Amino acid sequence: MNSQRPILVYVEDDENSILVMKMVVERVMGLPTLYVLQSRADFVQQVKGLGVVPDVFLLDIQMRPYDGVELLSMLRGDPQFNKSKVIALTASVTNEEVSLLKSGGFDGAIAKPLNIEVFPDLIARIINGEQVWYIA
Amino acid sequence: MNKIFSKQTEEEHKARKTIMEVAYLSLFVFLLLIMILTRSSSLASTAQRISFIAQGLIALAALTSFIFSRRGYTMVGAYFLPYGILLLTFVLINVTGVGSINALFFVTIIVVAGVTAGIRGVVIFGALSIVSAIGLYFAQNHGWLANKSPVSFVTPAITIAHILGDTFVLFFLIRIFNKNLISALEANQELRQLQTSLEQRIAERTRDLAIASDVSRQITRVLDMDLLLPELVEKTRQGFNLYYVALYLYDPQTEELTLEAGTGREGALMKSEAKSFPINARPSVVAQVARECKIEIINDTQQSTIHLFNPHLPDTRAEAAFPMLVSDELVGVLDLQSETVGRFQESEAQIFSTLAEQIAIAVRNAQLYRQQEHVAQELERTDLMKSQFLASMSHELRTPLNSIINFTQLIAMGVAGPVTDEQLTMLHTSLSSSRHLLQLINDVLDISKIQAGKLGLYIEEDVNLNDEIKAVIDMAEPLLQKQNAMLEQPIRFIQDIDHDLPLTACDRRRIRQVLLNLLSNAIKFTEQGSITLSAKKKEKEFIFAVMDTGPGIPQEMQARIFEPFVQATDDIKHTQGTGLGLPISRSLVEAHGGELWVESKMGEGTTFFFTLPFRPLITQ
Repeated sequence: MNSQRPILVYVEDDENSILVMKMVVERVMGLPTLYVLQSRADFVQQVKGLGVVPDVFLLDIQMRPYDGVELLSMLRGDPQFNKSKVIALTASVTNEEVSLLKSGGFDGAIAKPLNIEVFPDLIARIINGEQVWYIA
Repeated sequence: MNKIFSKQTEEEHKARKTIMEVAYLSLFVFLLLIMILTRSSSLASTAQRISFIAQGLIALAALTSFIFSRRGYTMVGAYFLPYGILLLTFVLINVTGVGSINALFFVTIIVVAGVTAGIRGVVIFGALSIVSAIGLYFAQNHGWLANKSPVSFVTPAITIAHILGDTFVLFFLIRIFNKNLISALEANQELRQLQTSLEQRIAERTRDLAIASDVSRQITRVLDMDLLLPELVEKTRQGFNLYYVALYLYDPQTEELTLEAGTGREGALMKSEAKSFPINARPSVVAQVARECKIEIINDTQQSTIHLFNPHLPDTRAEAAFPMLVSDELVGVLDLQSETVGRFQESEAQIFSTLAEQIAIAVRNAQLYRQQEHVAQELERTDLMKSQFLASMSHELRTPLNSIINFTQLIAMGVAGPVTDEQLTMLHTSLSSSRHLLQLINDVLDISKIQAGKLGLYIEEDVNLNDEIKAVIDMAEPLLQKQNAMLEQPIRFIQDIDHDLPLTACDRRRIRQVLLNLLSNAIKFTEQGSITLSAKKKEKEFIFAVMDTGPGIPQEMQARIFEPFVQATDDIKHTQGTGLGLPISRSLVEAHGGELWVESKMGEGTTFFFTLPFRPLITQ
């Protein structure tokens, strides 16, 4: 793991959200790149195609055809990504959803819209092994 | 005479029996006492001994009569006593001779016979006495009786004359007595018949009322008219033993009457023919009743000009129709038909009238119920659409808004190039407006969930309320600073918080939401003085209070501010908000089992309180 220059993967179906995340990661946090993948059945293949093991997966929850929870279970089926942190990104944080995300095996959740000022710090804490539930 | 010798009626028999039995027993007891008293003095002379035996014989006869009478052999018993006295007479004669035959002996027999066995007894024992008197006279004069000298014929003649005279007197006396007894008994019987018929009528009326109330009870239970009315008319028909019962409903819009339910096959047939007719139809009993709202009773349809012969109901001979009114408004007409001329009497009309009233109320209820049901279905559909709309709004509205907020934030941070101070101010305004819009959307979602009863809490164990309060204060601090920047004298923020509030189970995000809402309200409305946040544990609950020194809330608004979309002031500066914060907060507190209320005095300030039950462990 490279805690100085972590490798982040983002799965999202809204173009604007991708653009925001790219600016936050590449310009605000100054990381070389944000890997953006698509919600597809071959999700694990896509990740392997990157050629690196990501430090943090940021999964949007409300996506089609596969939502964040389904993508998480695909990832957890492969021991190669055991050490990767998986974070849920969600716009509608209902109580039911939080418990679902916790029991579903996510390492944390971050509410949308992003609080850009605290986001870099949240990522750092996640990489340090902290469970982060930044949802209110 | 015929009547005298005819068989006694049941009543006569019973009355006489009771009198006799008392007399028999009294006589027996009386003689027994006499005998005991006599025995105690002396029985020296023969006459005294004979008299003693005679008393015994009569006493025995009286007792025998009593026993037979008790056993039901009244007449047998009635004859025993005269026979006993007759026997006594013979005993006395044997001792004293016919010469001493006193008419009194025989008269006694006849009186006793008359009293015990009636006229028949008088006649029988009168005759027996005369025969005995003559027989005894001859017996004595022929020397058949010992130690007795012959007597002149005058003695028995006087005796017989006495007997005859007394017999006649008794005969008529008893006849008069019997007549009186019979008329008294007849009067009694008449009275009894009257009573029976009265009882019958009461029973009938009670039965009618029972049927009516049974029907009424049915009415109040069933709200569905299609089920209710057919059952109702059938029950009425059966209960009152009628030929046909029908119910017409009135439609005030078309001014038409429609057959809603009728009994039997005829009813079903006529209903299928959809018989509707205007209220001014003539001749029609039902239409007339509907027009005049007055009961119409036709007790002989063949003599009536308004009764319309119905080929489906050929046997109708009497018809009665009752208007069904609810507070003077015509609901319909209850029509009753009978095969019997003169079936509908005044006394029953009241019951039918009441029944019609009851049905009217039931029909009105059912109509309202039907309307309500329709409205409820409509509402349910609308509600479902609303939920779906809100669910999609939640996602569709927030996604672009999130982008707006984040891009604005990025630009303001200078990510896309340098920003002037003026631009920065504008960007911050844009940002705060966007955040306000987002809050609005979230509030609307919350309140709609609350109203749909779908608000669930996410209860966590061991929540540290001190941490949550601190987080809320951190969030409220910038708002306060912003407010203070516009004021000459800054508002003091006072914390009165127990620092060791015990861990409790609650939905901490929701509790934070409530606290933040109350604090930001206080900041928004206070321009001088202070705002105090207090949090204490008292017995089994926590009490939170947010106190300000703002303008206060008028008494009449204090309840209304908890209704959605209501704010206490129209002041534009203060209306920035959804008007949903308080109703949401109250619902959230109540969902936790707590209470939220306000205390306020105009010009002094406002305090919002809420309680939160202390739950050290989640109850499983």
